[in-house]
Amino acid sequence: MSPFLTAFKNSPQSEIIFYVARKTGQQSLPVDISITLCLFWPTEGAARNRSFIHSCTNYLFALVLEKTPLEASRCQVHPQHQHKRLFKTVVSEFGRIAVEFLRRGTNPKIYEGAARKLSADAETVQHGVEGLMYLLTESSKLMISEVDFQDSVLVLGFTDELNQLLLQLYLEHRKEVRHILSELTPSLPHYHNLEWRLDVQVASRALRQQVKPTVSMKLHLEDRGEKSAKVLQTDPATLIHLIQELEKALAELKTTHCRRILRNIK
Amino acid sequence: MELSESVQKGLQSLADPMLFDLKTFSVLIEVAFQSLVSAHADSSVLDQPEFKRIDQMLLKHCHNAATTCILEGVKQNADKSTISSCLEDLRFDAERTDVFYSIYQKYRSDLETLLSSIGRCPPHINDVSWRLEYRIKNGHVHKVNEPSYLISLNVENANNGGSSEDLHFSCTMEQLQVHNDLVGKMKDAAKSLEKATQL
Repeated sequence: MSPFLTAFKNSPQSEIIFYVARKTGQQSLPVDISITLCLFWPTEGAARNRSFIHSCTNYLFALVLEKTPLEASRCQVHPQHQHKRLFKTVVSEFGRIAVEFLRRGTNPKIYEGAARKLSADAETVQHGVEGLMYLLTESSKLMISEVDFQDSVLVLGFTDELNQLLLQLYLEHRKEVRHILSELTPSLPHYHNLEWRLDVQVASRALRQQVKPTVSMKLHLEDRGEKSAKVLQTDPATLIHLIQELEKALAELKTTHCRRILRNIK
Repeated sequence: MELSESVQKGLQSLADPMLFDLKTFSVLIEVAFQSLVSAHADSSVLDQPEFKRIDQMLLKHCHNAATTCILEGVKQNADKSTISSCLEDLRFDAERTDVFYSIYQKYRSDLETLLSSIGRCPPHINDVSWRLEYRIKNGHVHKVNEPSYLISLNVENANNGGSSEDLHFSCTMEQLQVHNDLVGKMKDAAKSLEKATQL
């Protein structure tokens, strides 16, 4: 038995925290995280069984990821237990909650509900879900490849099945998470639509009997979901000038200089 | 052409050879037109040597009446017969009417341009500037790798004394060209303008 398990056996507490080595300096991994594994089980189980290998009926793993500079020796966790299925459902449920929270914002009531169902601490559940959220956002932000993601998750020492589950969670949701993250970036209002109308001014208070062609336009802009419309006007000569300028702008994208840059920076 | 009583009185004084001889009359009419057309309000406009002997109040009143009459004429796009009949009603002799009309012809198009520019309108686009950028990454998402345009429309606000402001917005290449596009719609507008001019 590893020294950790021995320590665990003698510990009267109902929880134990395993620290895992921090993954730095590994060139294959762009993610730099240290992972804290929390292992929880109900107190009556702890009283009966000190050894987690022979542990009681229900327990769960919760992931807590945090950027702590702590170092520790590697922990060998082998959940050779019939409740692998339980892990899977719990982790996939947590994953679902994490994605939902990323979409809509957090809801503390869910933590309490889940904590009650799993007979665990609400704060623990919160840490678990937040850990998953962080894992998802960091991986999606960096858009890491499958291989890199698997390498990063490997350090947790989970089963392949669980790793696959996390990988699927990442792959399925990464585009959506990137889209949500991109809403945080500073941005200007962007173009949505343009309506136009051709008018001829025939008279005004200052001058009767005019023939003045104008083009009225309504420019629809959108800024993070807020739509705005501006009514503008221009005369035919300026309109032609605007078209010429914008066509020059479009042509610029097809020049060799631009193409070289677009091709090479990927 | 409808003119108020005070304007009519002023014009009648102008018609009077006892108050204004022909030369002074011509100078005053010329001065009246110029003061309308010139860009700066010149307080010394009535300081001509010919006006030294004339009562200043009368001078101002006549100048006022003349400019009002001119503006009315330009506004209504009055032709020779309208002006002549109006002036004749105010006891202008033929000579003075001719002088008035010839100077009127000279300044007419400038005054029309001036009057047509007065009025309220939505902010008027004067110019556009653009910038093409390639977004690589930002603080929240890496590997963005997308080109994007930043467009600035220079817009003049006719209401607030001609203040101009810039309207900035960003635009992808597709938005500029392909779908729901800005340039395409402007081209449609230009085409329909062309068709309308050929009608």
